[in-house]
Amino acid sequence: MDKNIFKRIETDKELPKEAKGEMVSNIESAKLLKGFTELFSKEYLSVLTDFFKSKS
Amino acid sequence: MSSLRMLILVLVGSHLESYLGSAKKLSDNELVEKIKKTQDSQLFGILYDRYSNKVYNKCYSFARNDTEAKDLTQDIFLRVFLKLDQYKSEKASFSTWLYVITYNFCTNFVNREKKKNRTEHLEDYEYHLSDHVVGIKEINTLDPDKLNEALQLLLPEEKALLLLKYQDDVSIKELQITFEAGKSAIKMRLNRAKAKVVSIYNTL
Repeated sequence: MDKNIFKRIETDKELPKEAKGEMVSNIESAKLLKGFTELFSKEYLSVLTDFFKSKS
Repeated sequence: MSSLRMLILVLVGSHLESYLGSAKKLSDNELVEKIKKTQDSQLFGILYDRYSNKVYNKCYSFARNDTEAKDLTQDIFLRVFLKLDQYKSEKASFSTWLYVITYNFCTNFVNREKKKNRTEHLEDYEYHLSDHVVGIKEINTLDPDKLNEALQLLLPEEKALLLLKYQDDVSIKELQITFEAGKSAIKMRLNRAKAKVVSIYNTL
């Protein structure tokens, strides 16, 4: 038994197996969202600005 | 399924398997560098396999609930993936960086719950700290269940600091860099947290 009490109180639970798949899918969604945000904030920013300028 | 399609699937599958198989042999820092370049979620899955249960148990120690602990773990890994560019291997090991993020999430979670339920931690409690410095040897003789209870009543920031030092073996040097504080400030915070947890323990 470990002498260090902080190591002794550490639990030994396991994450459900499906958690990894969920995490990978969350990352893929976040990457997609990031991609879209970058596309609109960099590539299409001038297009959007022109559009709103012409509307006003 | 046509045999050509099947052959392609087998070839792609075996290529992916050998790619991930060789990546599994890489150190944490080598993997992080590769993930930074490729943004590959499958490679990140290797880091997840190495640390997810450790992070999950840390979250459980704060949340005391399986579902909350699992949700916190998923949020932490998503944040880690998105912030991977900010990790600097010369400042701290990957595990230290990951655990600091974990404890920040857990601390925020506990403080949010505290506000929601209007419960008070011992920040506002009447407790008396003695002048004598509490050593780790003294804490090691305490009853584990009771210590766990006392840790739950400690401010989450103080609990996190104790766990980083004594459960995760993070050095004072790494704590200094992580918290941008001097050696004496870190030692003082640790001594205060130890004295406080023992004081709470004695009231239970």
